[in-house]
Amino acid sequence: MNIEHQHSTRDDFLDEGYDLSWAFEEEHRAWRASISRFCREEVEPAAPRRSIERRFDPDLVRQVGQTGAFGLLAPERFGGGGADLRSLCIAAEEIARFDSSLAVTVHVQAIAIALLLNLASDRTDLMDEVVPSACRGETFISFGLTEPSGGSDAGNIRTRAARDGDDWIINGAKQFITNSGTPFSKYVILFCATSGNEDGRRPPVSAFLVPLDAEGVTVGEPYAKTGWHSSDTHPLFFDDVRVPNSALLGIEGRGYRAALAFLTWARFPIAAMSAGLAHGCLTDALRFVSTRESFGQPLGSHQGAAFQIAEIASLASLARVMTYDGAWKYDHGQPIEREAATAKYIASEAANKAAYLATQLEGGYGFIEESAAARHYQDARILTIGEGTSEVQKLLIARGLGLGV
Amino acid sequence: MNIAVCVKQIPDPAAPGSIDPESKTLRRDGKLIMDDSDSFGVEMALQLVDKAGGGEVTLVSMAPNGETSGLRTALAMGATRAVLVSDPKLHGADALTTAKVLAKAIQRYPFDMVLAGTESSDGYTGTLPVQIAELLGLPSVSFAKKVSIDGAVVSVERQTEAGYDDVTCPLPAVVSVTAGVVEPRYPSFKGIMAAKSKPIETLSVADLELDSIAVAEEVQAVHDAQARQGGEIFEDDGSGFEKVVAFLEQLKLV
Repeated sequence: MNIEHQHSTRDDFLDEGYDLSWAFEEEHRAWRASISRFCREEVEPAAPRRSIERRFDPDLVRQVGQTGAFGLLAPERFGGGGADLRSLCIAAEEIARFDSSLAVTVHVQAIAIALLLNLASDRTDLMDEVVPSACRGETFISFGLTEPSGGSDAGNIRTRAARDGDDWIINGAKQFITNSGTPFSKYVILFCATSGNEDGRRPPVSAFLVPLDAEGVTVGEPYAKTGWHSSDTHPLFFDDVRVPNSALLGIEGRGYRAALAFLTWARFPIAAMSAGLAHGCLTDALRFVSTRESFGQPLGSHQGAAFQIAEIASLASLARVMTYDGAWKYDHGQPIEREAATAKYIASEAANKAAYLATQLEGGYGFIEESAAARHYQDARILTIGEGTSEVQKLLIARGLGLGV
Repeated sequence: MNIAVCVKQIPDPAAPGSIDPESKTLRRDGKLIMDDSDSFGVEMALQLVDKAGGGEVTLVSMAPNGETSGLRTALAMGATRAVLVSDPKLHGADALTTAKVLAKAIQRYPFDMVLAGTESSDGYTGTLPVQIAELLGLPSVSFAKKVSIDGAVVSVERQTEAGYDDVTCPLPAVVSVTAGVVEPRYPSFKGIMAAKSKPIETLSVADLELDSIAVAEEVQAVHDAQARQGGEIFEDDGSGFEKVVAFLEQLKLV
């Protein structure tokens, strides 16, 4: 075998991250170049202020809408990009290098649109009405699954939808709902129990598209969160909310399982955000140790600091490889159950470790919210919790190995 | 409204460039990108065509090795098509030769106006737009910081040292635009996908039926820029501000 080996430069690695040339086509590279430039010019400069002020920025969201990021996964027929999962992961990764709050805003909208299309693709009138403006980011659809008593026991749904003639009456509450209180927020895909559980078993769960301005819907006060400060998250309350039968998405009683099975791939954009965040930690910490002097030389000339940088770079590389290996498989129709759980678990834990190391390296500066490292540290914490905790991912991996847990 | 836009594809300014010792010009054999200064012309053209209610934006470019990366970026922004002239005979071409080639390429499609950046970010001659105007026998307006079209007349706010001139000019015309004339859009995902199937016509010198290619300009030598000398250092003995004021007065800054 005669192979001419090429060398990746420091700049190549810092620009894009660990080289995965096998994973991308030309359009992926062009998309990354465009969204990366958008992030450097439009997202990064005010990211610290948005986070410190806990401010969701509608103007920035409108700009994101023009890039096409929200509607990536929707077919062109409904105003989307007709893109693959890698394209969404690229957007999530690039945005999370600077602003995880914006990345999750895009992620939730992208998966809500995809889920809506999956549950009710045959309802073309409804899709024509709802999806195009959602793809442009002009209207937000939130994802109403988690309940105050739910968490990892996500199937424990107490919000009830009861038939009343041709309508449904909904009562209950949802917790931690992203994108539900912005100027764009218009709908929630709401998971409700739809019949009795007299035999002691859990009732079947159905999905509804509920307008947030329907009578009886209350969007609660925004949460004071530990991270993702400039994303929008609220509790939702439903008090005798009447919706027509046309609000039911898909088949009654099949909403929950269908949605969860469909959304297995949604862990990859979270892994991508983890990879982006870890890379953001690398660039910030590298800048710091290259410019900060201690004992008469740059901090990065001390082995203790250099090794930490090497570890952050390795963690970011690991998260990136896991993300795009799985996303590539999904885009090529291969099984991804094990990959989704493993990538989400490994990448989110790597991001947390990278953020810890970056803040530790930056010392007092890493504890000040103006610093990117501090912001990444705050934003990393949710990554091992949202979209299935690390423990849930380990449960799935163990079950995949035949263990009866 | 049909507009031709000159687009130069240049080596990435973020990567360290090098000079070809033989031609003493910038090496261009690696991957090229769209010159940032041309993105303003592309965006201006897209907006003018949009305002006019429709039309085509044709990109014209000259680059070695059939390079199209920069053109794809401009097509992803929304341009209709591209004409690329790529020919080893053009190696080391000077600005006038380039203008002759582009003027020929521009005439392949109908146009009401030609837009170009004020100057490229690698060569900086700044002469190409007026040369093209002369070769096409068209009026030329340079340094446009605002452009609007009313019927067959283009109105331009032309940047000057003191402010700007209001200039009107009949179409067709060649207009060079400054950075900041408009805010270039970011190629959207849909734009990137659409650009994949947009036509890029690649031509040789022979295809253009140019009489001859005779590069008149020859670079004799390239020298490193002179290193900056260290400034004079004053220790502040309490009269430092007087020295600062005297220095600024000498430069006529105060």
